[in-house]
Amino acid sequence: MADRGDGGLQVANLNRSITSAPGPGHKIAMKCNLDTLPEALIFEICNHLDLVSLVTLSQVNQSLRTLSVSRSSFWIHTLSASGLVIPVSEPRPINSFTPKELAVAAHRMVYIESNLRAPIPRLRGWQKIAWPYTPGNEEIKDANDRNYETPTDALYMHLVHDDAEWAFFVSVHNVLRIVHLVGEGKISNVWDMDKCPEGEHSEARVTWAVDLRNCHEGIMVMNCRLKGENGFETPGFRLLDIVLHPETGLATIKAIGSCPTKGSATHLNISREYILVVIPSKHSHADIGEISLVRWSDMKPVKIPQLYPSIRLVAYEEYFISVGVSPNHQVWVQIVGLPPADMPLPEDSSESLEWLPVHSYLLPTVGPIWRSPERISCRVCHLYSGEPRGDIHVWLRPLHRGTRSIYTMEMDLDALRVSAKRYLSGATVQGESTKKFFVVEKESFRVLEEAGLRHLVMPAASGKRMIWWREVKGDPDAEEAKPYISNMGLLPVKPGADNECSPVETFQLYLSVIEDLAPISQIEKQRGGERLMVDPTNEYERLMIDPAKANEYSEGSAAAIQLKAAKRLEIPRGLACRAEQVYMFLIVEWSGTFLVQLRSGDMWILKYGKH
Amino acid sequence: MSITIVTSDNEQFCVEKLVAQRIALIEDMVENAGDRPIPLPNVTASVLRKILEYCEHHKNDPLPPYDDGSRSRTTHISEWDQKFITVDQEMLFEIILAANYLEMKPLLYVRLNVPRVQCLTACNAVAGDIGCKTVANMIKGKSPEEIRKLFNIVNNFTPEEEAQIRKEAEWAEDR
Repeated sequence: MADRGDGGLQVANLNRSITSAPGPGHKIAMKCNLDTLPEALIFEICNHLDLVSLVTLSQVNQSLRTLSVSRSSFWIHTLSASGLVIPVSEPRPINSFTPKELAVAAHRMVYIESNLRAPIPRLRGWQKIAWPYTPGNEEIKDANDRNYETPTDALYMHLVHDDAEWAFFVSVHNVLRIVHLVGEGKISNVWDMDKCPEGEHSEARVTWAVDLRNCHEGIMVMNCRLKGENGFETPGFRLLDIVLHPETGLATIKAIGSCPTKGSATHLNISREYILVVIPSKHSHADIGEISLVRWSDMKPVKIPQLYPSIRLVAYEEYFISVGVSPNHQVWVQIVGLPPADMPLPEDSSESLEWLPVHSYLLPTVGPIWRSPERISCRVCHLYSGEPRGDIHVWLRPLHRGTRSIYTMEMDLDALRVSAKRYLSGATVQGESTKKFFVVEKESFRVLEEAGLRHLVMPAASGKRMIWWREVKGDPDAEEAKPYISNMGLLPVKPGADNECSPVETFQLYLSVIEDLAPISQIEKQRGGERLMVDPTNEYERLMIDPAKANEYSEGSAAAIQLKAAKRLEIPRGLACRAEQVYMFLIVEWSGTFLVQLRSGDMWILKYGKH
Repeated sequence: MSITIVTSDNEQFCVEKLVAQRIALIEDMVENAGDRPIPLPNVTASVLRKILEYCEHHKNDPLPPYDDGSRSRTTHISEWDQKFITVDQEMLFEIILAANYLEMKPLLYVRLNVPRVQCLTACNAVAGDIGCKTVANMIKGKSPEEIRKLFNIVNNFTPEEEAQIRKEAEWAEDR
């Protein structure tokens, strides 16, 4: 309170006079107003505000502004309850950031959201990075030359840094390329120590993960082949220390450890001092495997509680989440709390952490999953904030159909923490289990498959929105197309001037928020009644919506609502004719950046946030 | 059974115990007070009248679940509550302050053996809930100037501070 103005001091005095309950006859002499309420009540009002209103409130007068830059409570609830990516510098609990850092993050979010939620999200900046990317120096050039790969091979798997300044690509031959996305872009480094020998890459799995500790440092884990004492190669993983140098656009990569595994991992991940590995069992499908944990400090495996074979694994600071399939083909989301950083582990924990708390959520999946568990795929969308509770959105796609079911569950991080601390402090009583089971009653949302899409709809990291693109014939200079084509910069569409460029507009980029979709109850009610297409080639019912027949859907129907929820984004003129070449696209919510990768290797970075 | 409450302006209220027990502070004081009137030195008669009206209407409602402040909240207000809270601003803030002082609705938390410190946090959160929601709804969608006008708040930023706010906003938006 020391840094507040006179109003703040008066509030403090008032608060004390109330709680000390002075004798009869005493009256509260001072009239109260919004800015002179006790802090706790102002924060309570803040908790009911949306982000835009909260930022506005912080700009009303000195007293409220001082509160906003001196007390994290002003921001924490609204930021974490927004369910959006909070653009802070490191993946640590939100309450560990200063009020000023949170204020800046809130301003950024408002800036991004106001654009993405506009009827036509405007392009605030863009750049094109042409293939082949320029090597950062001679050494990198040599490494790049000796590892020549086609663009689609080289850019096989990707990860983009939050602020969209760096991208990590791992090729089908397990060659890592870090690319600096600033300016014309350049290759910051190439790591080929674990390159698969020619002709063998089809047998090896390209699996990797990067844990970015802050803006410029990270740890990477990737599959590799290790030479054993007998001279034979065995599968394993390698840990790399990565430092990004924004001033030069270069990156340093250093191997810091390796560990043999029983097989080639399908998933790898890093959570604080643990490495999570999923190894497929001999009898299971390649995409499902048993989870194991390796302690980073000594590269020793540690036993963990029995979990279902995993099809998707994500790790955070205090826990990891696995989507697994039970022997009877039920789909479970399992959250495993990791040992608290502030408590010593018992001596016997050097080999076993089987006591770790596990919260298991059964998803209400039905139909084909029961028969073909290996053919489902999913994405886990969850944002770590360190707050006691947080939402997890699981986007499930059974049988590789385009329709996606979204299940939402509220995780109880406090319960996981308490459970682990009770065990470690010896407070656990007989019969008390660290394992809990929950049932998710129904889907939260469903994204109906759209007819004619070449690519699947992609959920964003928050799980609250999705992006996709359509290929539609049309003239980019037509009146109806003009609001969506940005003429900023160069690269106009010149029909006939570029062999790769079609004379018609074909690429349209879209964004939807899941809350704008029809409720599940409405979709269920309309099954059969709605004029949805049914794909006869699929043995299971496969409902699709067709934007070309939008006029045929009744007003307020699930299909009409989904089509109406789609926002078409403004894109650069030069990208509008490249649909034939689109290879990959993604959204980085942290900075409001979209990345469109073409088969030619060219990368288009579209900025709807900072410019 | 009823109890007597005396307000700061010396007005006496005879209140049904069931109604009064919706107010945590009174619940705590009843046991020690015996048959003596309970003084509420920080609440005027006009404010207490409103609060008792609220308690009377909600006397049979189940007590709210324990709230540690982490769950997302809605700004929905029931129709009756909406009418109840349609008062002038001065009364609105007096209700919020009085509810804060009276620690309304903490009974469930005490019974659940929630630690007192958590209990009070929760009580404060719940007590002013309807009032705080109302104020939040008044703020939503307005500009800083509109909020100042609505709540009669003076813009006391210096030109330097105004410039600083603009600069920070630019930095936040365009790093």
